[in-house]
Amino acid sequence: MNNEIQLGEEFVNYYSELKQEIFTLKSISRIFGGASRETYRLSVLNKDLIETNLIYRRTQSSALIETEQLTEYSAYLAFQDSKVPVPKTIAIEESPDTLGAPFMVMEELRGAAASPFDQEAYSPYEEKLGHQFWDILGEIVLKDIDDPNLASIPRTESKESCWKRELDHWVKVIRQDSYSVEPILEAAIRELYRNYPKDSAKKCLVHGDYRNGNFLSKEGTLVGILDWEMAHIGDPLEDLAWAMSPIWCWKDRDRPSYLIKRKQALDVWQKKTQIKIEVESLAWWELFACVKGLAIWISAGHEFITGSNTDPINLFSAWIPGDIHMEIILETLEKEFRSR
Amino acid sequence: MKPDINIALMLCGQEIATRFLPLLKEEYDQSRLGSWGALTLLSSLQIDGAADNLNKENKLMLEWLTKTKSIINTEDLIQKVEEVESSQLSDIKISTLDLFNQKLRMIFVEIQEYLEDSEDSEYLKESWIILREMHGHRKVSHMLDLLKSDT
Repeated sequence: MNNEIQLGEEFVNYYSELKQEIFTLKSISRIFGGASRETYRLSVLNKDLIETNLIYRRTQSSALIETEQLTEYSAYLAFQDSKVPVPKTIAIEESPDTLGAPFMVMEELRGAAASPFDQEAYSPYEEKLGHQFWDILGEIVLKDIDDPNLASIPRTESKESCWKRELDHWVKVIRQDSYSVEPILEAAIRELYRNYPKDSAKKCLVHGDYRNGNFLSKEGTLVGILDWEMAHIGDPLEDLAWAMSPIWCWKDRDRPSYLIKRKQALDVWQKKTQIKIEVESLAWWELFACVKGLAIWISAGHEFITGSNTDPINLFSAWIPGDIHMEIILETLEKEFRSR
Repeated sequence: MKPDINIALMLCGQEIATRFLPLLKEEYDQSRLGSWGALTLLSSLQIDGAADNLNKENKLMLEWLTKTKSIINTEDLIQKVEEVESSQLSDIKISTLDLFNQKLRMIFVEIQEYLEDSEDSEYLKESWIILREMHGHRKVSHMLDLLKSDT
């Protein structure tokens, strides 16, 4: 029996017990991409041969960015049956004792994910999906952060600034995992600490990785926002700047996440949130997005070169997106120094 | 002459993509092997110029560091620059050049920070020109189309 089938069989035993009904495994396949979790698509049958399609997400023994399963699961719970489409949650096990690693189970949503580097991924539905994508981000900003489902989501101490908490966190990741000195990145870090943004009047739920590639769509309808493992309470501009980053629209820079034009996107978001965007603050968060991105890519490279996870996605991340984020910083800071 | 390493890697990448990838049934295995094929191809395009690029980067940084010595008032920084100026590399292996490159980068960062604090714009502007050139040596983002990977 290969590893995948064995995982599937063990899972079905667990699932049968959970549902108090006998299920059998029809199929299991691993989904490629995303280095923080091992994600499997499973199909199970009950005694009447009725099929249920599930997503089974296991914590990797070596996760790229260490996050709690509970963070992601809490965000999904908070948005069940809401205007923010998410998969239906079924179960979470935080202990590795049950199936060898912490995991969560959700119903599978029918829709397609896309590569964030494919500029034609959403054609011909860019306009329709674009409005939904930025409007849903606004909905996330409006979410009540005192929702009990969000109690375990990481947040700042009351007096600490959101920008500082986030910047300190990602700089720490860079310091831990760097395998080379990057003067461009170091200059960006210094710039961010020197010219920090105003604190936002409002704190909100931040998805943490809101962008193309992290949602499912079906014929022009956005059916699910996924990958909430970096969710936290923070500044409303953080997700906006991350999703706007040129890395997610590298071949068409004025069409963030390869959806609608930047100005249109900002208008949709502002109309939904009623938050006036401070240009300088957004620029800070956009530069921060590059530093955070680089922390993630450096961490991926670290996993790869230390041999803890030689999935080629880690090498890819260190080479290509790392390179693009470096170039965005270079362009931003060159302009900055030329204007002085 | 024996076939070069870069040619061998290029053919390996192509063979992975065209011969072995179609034999796999599982989507995950296909994606993973496909990524290896593309990354091997990408490596083949980079390897030939790697030592030359490092050598050029090292010269650029070293020249700039030497120039900045005249306006630095910190003994410790001057000493660090003089140390790298007097370094003798034992060979021109990529690993040796890279190790020296890392030393230079470390001092480069310190002096850039020093210049930012002292608001010296001339040498700072020059440092950004050097960083642009260094980035140009290493960047692989223009080869994005080689890699059809879902992340």
